[in-house]
Amino acid sequence: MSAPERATPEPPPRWDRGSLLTLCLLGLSVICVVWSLAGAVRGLDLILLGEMALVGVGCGWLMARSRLPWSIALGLAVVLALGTVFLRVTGLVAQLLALLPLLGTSLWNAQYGRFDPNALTPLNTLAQSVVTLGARLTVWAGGVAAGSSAYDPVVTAFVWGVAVWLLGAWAAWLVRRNARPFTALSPLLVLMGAVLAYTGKDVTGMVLLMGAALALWVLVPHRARESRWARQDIPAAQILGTDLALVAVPVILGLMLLLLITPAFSPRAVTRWMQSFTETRANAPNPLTDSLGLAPAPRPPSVFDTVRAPGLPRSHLLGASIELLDKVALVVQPQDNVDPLAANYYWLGSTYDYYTGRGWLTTALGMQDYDANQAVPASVNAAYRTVRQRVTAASETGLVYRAGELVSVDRAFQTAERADGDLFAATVDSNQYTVESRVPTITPDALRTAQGTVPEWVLKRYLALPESVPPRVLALARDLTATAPTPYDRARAIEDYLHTIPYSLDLPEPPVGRDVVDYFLFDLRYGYCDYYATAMAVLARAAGLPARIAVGYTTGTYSPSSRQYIVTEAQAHSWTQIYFPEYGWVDFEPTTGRASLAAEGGSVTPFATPEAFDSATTAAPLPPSLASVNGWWLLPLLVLGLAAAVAAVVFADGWRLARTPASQVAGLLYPRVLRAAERLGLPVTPSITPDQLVALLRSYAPIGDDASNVNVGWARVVDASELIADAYVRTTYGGMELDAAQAAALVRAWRGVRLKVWEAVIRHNVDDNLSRFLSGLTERAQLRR
Amino acid sequence: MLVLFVAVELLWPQRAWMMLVIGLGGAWLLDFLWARSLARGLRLQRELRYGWVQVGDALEERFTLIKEGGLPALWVELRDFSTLPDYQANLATGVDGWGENTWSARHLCTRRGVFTVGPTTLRSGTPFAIYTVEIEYAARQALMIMPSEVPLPNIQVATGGRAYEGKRRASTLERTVSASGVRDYVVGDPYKALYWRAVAHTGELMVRTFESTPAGDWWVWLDLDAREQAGTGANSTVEHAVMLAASLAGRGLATSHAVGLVANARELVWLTPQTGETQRLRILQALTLVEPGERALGELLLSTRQSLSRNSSIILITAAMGGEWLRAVLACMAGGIMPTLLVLDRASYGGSGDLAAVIALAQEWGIPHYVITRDMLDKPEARPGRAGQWEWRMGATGRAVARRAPSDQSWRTLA
Repeated sequence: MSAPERATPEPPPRWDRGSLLTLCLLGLSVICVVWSLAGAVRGLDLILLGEMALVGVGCGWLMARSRLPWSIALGLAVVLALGTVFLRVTGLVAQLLALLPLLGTSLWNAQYGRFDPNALTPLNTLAQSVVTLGARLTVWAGGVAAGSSAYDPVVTAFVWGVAVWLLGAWAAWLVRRNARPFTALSPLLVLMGAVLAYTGKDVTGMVLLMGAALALWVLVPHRARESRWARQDIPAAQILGTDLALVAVPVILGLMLLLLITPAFSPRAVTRWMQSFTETRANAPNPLTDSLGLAPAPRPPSVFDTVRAPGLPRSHLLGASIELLDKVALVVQPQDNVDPLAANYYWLGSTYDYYTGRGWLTTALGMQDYDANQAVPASVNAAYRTVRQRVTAASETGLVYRAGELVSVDRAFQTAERADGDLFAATVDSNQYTVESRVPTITPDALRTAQGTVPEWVLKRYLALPESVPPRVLALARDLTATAPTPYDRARAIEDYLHTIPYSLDLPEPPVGRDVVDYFLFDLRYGYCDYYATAMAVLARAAGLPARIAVGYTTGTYSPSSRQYIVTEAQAHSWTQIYFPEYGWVDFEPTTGRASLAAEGGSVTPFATPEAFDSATTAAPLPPSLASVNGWWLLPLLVLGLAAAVAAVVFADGWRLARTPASQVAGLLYPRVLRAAERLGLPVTPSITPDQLVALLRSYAPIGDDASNVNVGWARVVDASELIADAYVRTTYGGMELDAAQAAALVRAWRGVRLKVWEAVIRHNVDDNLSRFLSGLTERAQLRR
Repeated sequence: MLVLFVAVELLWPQRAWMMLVIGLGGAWLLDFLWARSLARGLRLQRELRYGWVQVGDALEERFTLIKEGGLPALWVELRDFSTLPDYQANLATGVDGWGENTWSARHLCTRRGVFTVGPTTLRSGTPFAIYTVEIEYAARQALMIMPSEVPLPNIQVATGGRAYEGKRRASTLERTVSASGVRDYVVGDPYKALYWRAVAHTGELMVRTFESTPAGDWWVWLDLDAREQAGTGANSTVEHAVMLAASLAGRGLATSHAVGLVANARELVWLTPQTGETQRLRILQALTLVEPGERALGELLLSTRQSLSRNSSIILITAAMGGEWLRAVLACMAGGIMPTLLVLDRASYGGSGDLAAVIALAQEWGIPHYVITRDMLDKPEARPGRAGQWEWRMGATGRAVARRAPSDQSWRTLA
């Protein structure tokens, strides 16, 4: 320890290295939590959460530095958190920014009776987005309250985003304002502990968080002490901080190391560890016992050992270019009354549920034998019609191809089912069979209003995604579906997006180790049906929609003479199925160049009757207009918000003026008069004197004012400006000081004319821009002539 | 929080909980041990170099912070509760384990009075700020800071009695003689004492003084009427009047006058004229403690003039502007007491009032007078502090006995 320096202490600067280090540690703390959350919570995007947490920390820090009382800061933090997370999750920032000037112009025009309702279309969209998120939040909260699974990635991102925003702000506030790092970081520690304990994910983030927390527990009190010493004029040795760091850093590193190497301790954990140890020993190959001819007891059979599906392809890998053959694969003769040219059947062979990052697999299968014409139990019973097809398959795979859900085959057949009767495929010992199947007769509106809950087994199996799916894929899914109000709209949003990616059969092999969907969506940007179907299934799952891929053939070519569909190998196809409550699996066509199976404005064509198609067309909803949107109420809300913002600005300005010392009031107000004159387009030069400025203002005639207004309104502005200019001259050049009463009179004068000045400036700018716009139009018209 | 995590870890054993338990528990345990070490091993020693001092002297103090035990005190905040004005001994420092940290504080005494050095509080803390240790040291020492004696401007104290009388005074303990010379004529001087040659030379009435003219007692009258004061702190008429009184008393004693002190302070001060170092100490001690009172100067003069011996000189130090007290002075003069007025100019201390009337009256009545302005007196704090000085104690016989010589530089621990 060295002898202290007796120099006069100085208050710490507002931004010093200590502040920066504190902020960095706070940022590191929230990033650790966010990192762990992103790894532990399904569908959470590290970047989004990180942004929100850091914004929260920044806002909390700034609020703590201001003089806001905690109650107002709390309210402000909640509003800011909801607003920023909403805008970020729904991707509406750009839309909102575009909306503001438009809204201003519309309101301005409305003042002159030129209101154009179409100008408010962006507002319409915004209102829709707010309503959508509100509805999704309501559904999610209802599901949570009802105790059922209600996973929605957008809502999840919103809820976690708000949570980390508020926790970041809380931590920054308590550290900056109250110097209480323990209370500040406790919620983060508890949250992270609970999440990691529940999910059992990697705990490295916890080590880093604990390190950052311990460092803050050392740093923040030390800075508070230094600040207090400076305030109380207590000289402090400069080396104290270094001494503290020299002790604290090794201690913190030691504790972090201890955290890394210490396992969880509990009687149960010890027992489990002992069991695993003994089991490992028993099952490990033992050369000595082998040499002595001793064999260990046979392992009890696993349930997986019994699951086998001979003759069925259990995987569907995505690869490089495929060669589509002209060889006939199927000949299908429909045996119902639907117009074969209008029908758009897809011949389904098998479905896959498990995405590996490289392709698809089916999980464990159970085999089930059926007699001829014996019906397979229906999974759902609503809105279906039965169709019959006579199928002649060219190959000997034995797969039963049919349109929609299998009902029965005219000869004995075998099904391969995943658990819960979830059909993978069916086989028959013949290449000619008549198959009966069910196709749903559903309209998009029906799908939009589908009620009920998705079964737990569907959620568990068809929402699963491997770790290999990168966060940007999840973020893309969230961005695409954030403003889609219903699951059907979300599916359509993904489908529409994939339709923008070009189709190609000539593509390279996906890189080893890369997730194929990530590769397809962000690098390759073209592909064939397997890629589209896989991408849609993965994006749908990331958006909270249970999805799988279906493999089979497209409709083929209908031959009116033989009344048959001729299906070639070139028509082999993959598409996506999404599960809807009440209706079960519904087909979607994400491949570019192919018509949507569940097109907007139409029925789910392959399964619906032409009548349903027609009715759906006529009943299709119009593009959303202001009148039809449930968010009409948002317009007055937005206007009120704008009014509140203006009021807040006026209030803040008044507050500032009231707090300005009397000697500085003239110096504060005169530049405002000067700026106002500049904005009014008056020839204000840098060397203009206050008297010249007043003369300029006196000569100005505000736009839109009639003579009486000029006399009354603008004359008051000129009078006030003269008063301010005079006071400015006296205080700046005359060496005089205003007393409190004179300063108050100046402020009163400015307040009295402030709105009039703003109005004149706005009118001038609008008029100016309008004139330029009209003159531009005239010039272009002349040029055209 | 730690207990909560321990309970959760036992009920729901997971590595995440265990890490929290270890992290928080480790920090708490470390801080607990650290706090115990601080409470048991941190000590402070305060030592002073001087027992009493005068305004303008430098006070030196030495602090030693000792840490027994291997853990260092990473920060120690020393809070000093001394009553010395402007004394800054508060400090934040640290000390190594098994080590000590010594530093000294030097303070220039700027205010007279009785003050205490100490008590002291030490605050220290643990690395993670979970515990704060506070140790109180009650040791303190009283310190009397006496008013300083400064070089005076050219002030001639009017001699008591009638010049040219040359008779012995019975009231003085020992004979003192004035230096012979010539001085201005004052009202009451016999005409025969006029020194016409000097009158012709200067054009003013001058009288001759003789070797045998006795040196009268000096009564230093200090007017501390609170209503007549101006200025604040060290730049007030009160402090300058006290400094003036101390300096004049010192000068009088040094020239073998018997010097007494009267002050209309909150507690009336009345020290009869005596000579010697003991009287100087008495006067300085009395001046150390005086505070402005409510009694008017004129009233006191009138009521006490009978107690003043004839032929003595009174030196009136006042900031009063009114004329009443001058009438009292006139009454004293009629009794053979010779006044010298030292009038502090209140305007120069930031107060109000005009001295013209007082000066005119003094001139009219031939009373020697001097106007003292704020900047006339040497500022004690402008002089470098002395390294040490004599320290005295009063003997049983009233004589001062030297206890410490200026060369004695030993440190004394606060008791």
